[in-house]
Amino acid sequence: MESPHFDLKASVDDYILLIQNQGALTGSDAKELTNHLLDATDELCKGGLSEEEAFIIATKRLGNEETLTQEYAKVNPSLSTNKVWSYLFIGFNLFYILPSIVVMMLAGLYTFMHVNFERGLISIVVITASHLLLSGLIIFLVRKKVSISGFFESQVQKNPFRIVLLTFLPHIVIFLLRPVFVSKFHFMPATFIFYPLREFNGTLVEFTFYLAILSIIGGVLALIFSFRKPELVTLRYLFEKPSILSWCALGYL
Amino acid sequence: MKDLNKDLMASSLAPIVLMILRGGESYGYEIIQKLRDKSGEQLNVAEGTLYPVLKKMEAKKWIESSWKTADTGRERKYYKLTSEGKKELEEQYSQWNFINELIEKLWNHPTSISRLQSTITSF
Repeated sequence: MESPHFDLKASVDDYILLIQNQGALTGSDAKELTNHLLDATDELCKGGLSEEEAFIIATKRLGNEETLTQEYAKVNPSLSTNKVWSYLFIGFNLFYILPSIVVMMLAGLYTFMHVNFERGLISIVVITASHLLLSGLIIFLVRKKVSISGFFESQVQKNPFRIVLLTFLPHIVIFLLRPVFVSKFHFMPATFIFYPLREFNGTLVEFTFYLAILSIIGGVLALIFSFRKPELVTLRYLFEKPSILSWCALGYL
Repeated sequence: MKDLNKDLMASSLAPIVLMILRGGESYGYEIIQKLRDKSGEQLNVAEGTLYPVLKKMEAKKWIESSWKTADTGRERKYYKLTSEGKKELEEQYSQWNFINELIEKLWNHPTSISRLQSTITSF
């Protein structure tokens, strides 16, 4: 049966990404498999099958995610050694730096709003909106997680040293900014983060604050596990076949 | 459809691919097509597992690869036999022949053990 909106290119890309997410495929491997699936589908279509039927048969012939990951892992050992170290460093850099930046920006915003508008309506609206924006940003990042890990994969493949160094750069910026922050506000940014709960005690501010925290937790979970297959959300799976982003997260731990 | 033993398939896929590439450069999907053709559609192998085999052979310098764009605009990675690969193919071909002959002999003349036992019991 043909579903009305079957998109062959998107289905093929999705299928290959699912395998690629297991961390054993290089970008070139993925391209090769993608073109194989397209070739096979074309050939089956010539025999009179619909695109969707042809796609299903072609993927079955290609082999399942587990077999392919196993076989590719044998020939791409660099992925499980050098690259793992790169991912661990990148993960440490990113997961350390991103929260610091977010906390610094929020702390800056809270104090700015408090100094200029005190607990007025403008403060409440701006802070509520920025919390919602943060939650939205996290959801956006989670939706883009495949492209993000794809980006890191291609960078690590091209030049692992460069990408590790690049992700380290923000550390220096934060290191330089911190004393400015402390001298200006007499607080470390981290202690500022509960400022809105103390100073702007509005229900909306409080609700969206917790919403943002919840989306951060959800976001981190979604980065590590694949939610496309809920049965795979187990610790065993995480350690057995860690994805690129899992390695990054482990680097931070 | 023949479901070959996994180990047997793994060890025979390399010489089979080398033999296919002896006929000229080719890309993954075409190699699979030829394999299916020659085996009379009998060989049941997960097609994707061919690519790791090709990568392994490329690392051993038996074959070399290059990306080319087909008329349809689709990019394909073509594989070509190297001179080292040709030597390897000859070597593997003679080894497979040897095993093949051995199996043939043992299958057609299941001698030694049963004959030995009957000799012992006749005493």
